[in-house]
Amino acid sequence: MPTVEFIKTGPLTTLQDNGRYGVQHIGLTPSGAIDKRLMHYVNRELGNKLDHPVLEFALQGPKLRIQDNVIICCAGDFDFQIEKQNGQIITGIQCKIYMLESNDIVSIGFCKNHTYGYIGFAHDFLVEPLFGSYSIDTYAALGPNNGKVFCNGDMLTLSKCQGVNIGVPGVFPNMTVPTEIKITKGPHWDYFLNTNDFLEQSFLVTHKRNRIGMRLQGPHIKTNMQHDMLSLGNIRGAVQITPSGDTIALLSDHGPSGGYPKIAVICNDDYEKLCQMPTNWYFKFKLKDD
Amino acid sequence: MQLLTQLVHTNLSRIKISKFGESGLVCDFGNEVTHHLNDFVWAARSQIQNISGVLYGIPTYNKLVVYFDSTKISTESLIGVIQQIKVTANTLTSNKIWKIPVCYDGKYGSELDRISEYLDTTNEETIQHHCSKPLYVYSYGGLPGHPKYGNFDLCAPGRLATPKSVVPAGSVGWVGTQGGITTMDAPGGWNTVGRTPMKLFDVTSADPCKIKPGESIQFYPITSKEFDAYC
Repeated sequence: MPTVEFIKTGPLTTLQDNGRYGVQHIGLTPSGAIDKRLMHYVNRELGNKLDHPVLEFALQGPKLRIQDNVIICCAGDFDFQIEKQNGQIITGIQCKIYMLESNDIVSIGFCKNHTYGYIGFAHDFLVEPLFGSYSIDTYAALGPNNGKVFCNGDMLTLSKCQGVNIGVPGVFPNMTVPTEIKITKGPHWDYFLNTNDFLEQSFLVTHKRNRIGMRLQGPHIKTNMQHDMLSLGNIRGAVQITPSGDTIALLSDHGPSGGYPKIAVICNDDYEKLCQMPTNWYFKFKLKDD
Repeated sequence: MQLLTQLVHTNLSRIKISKFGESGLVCDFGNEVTHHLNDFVWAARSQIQNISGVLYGIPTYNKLVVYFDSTKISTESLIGVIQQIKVTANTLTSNKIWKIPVCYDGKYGSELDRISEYLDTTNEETIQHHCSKPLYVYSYGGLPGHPKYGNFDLCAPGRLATPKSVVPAGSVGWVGTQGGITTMDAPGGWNTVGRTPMKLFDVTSADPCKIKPGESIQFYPITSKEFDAYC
């Protein structure tokens, strides 16, 4: 069977699909690809179902050794190359389909102006889904690969490829990194004292980020509400304020419920844009007209 | 108008439903932490989950967060469908009382002293209160199968100012009048009063959560020897 071996992995390489839904009431996080635009794009190119599982990586991509014949397609803002067994080096092109052979090595570099990149496969992953999803849940460490991010030496077995039904190419998403992120008011907006600072001052994307959340550095947001409020269900894109006044955006592996007050929610069209922002990027929140 | 707490059946047009972003709703059944309201919340979740376009519902004590695919159903249509739903408040409450062993030794109950100091009780009295009565399970908390229960008669101190980076699985938490038992190692900011050796979540099982909302739990103290011997 075709295999993919992780000679090296980046810091946060996982398998993701559309996510695991309908089990949040028993405490599971939804997971799923952070940037579904790119997941859909590579899957459309490969003729897969749009939510077919993909390899997602953050900041730095993996180095993979292939066995047997494997068909891939990459999307994101990174360079990559394919080293053939005869020493030939092919410079990778985004969104192009590559047919790989035994002992080919795919080396993916750093993500440049974005944070998440994707590798699509024209194969099934021979791993067990959990509650119908192939996504690795990094919050509770559940799902394929025992819920762990991939480590050096890990191996994935793929189904034999039946060929590629090249689909109608999609429109590549606009990947411009914005300086404005649209929000709507969260359930606790009215309890905060300086929402004007929240809207007028800039926030910085810090290195404290993973698939669970992004810690944003910006104005100290004050509230007169009790921070020991009862927990409320969480959703992707909710922006919460901690007792120390820090701002955290919840991402796809967010805890299913939590007690921190939620000041805002990122608009759906801007969720991927926020997640993809490079570390040390400044932006402002803008209230969407309702 | 009758209060929700006085009704056995209700139409969801009586509850407050507000937007939570572009793909979310908060269904608000009130502010009291009672079995009755919680029963409505769970009954509403199981019906709302079946609406086409709804991805999930997360019940907490008296609120239900609904998350949906806004490309499949609009916020307004979803609210309209939810308002047609009728729920009954006697579906959940069960007579089952789980007896949960807890070791309160210092190495397991890292905030036992903090709680006793706050309550102005001895540790023995704190433990006695913690074990004194069955506690109703309202929902699952921040982790899979993590029961959240209440209501203690004594109010423990609030969450820790700085959350711990790792709270071990089985940690028995107590904040205010509410409690929870963690099911896996995870960061957390709750006071830990002790630890149970009982496993409450098994992802390989067809029925992964041992304790269900509507059931109750009652703690009993065990020694660290008994903890180690528990299997």
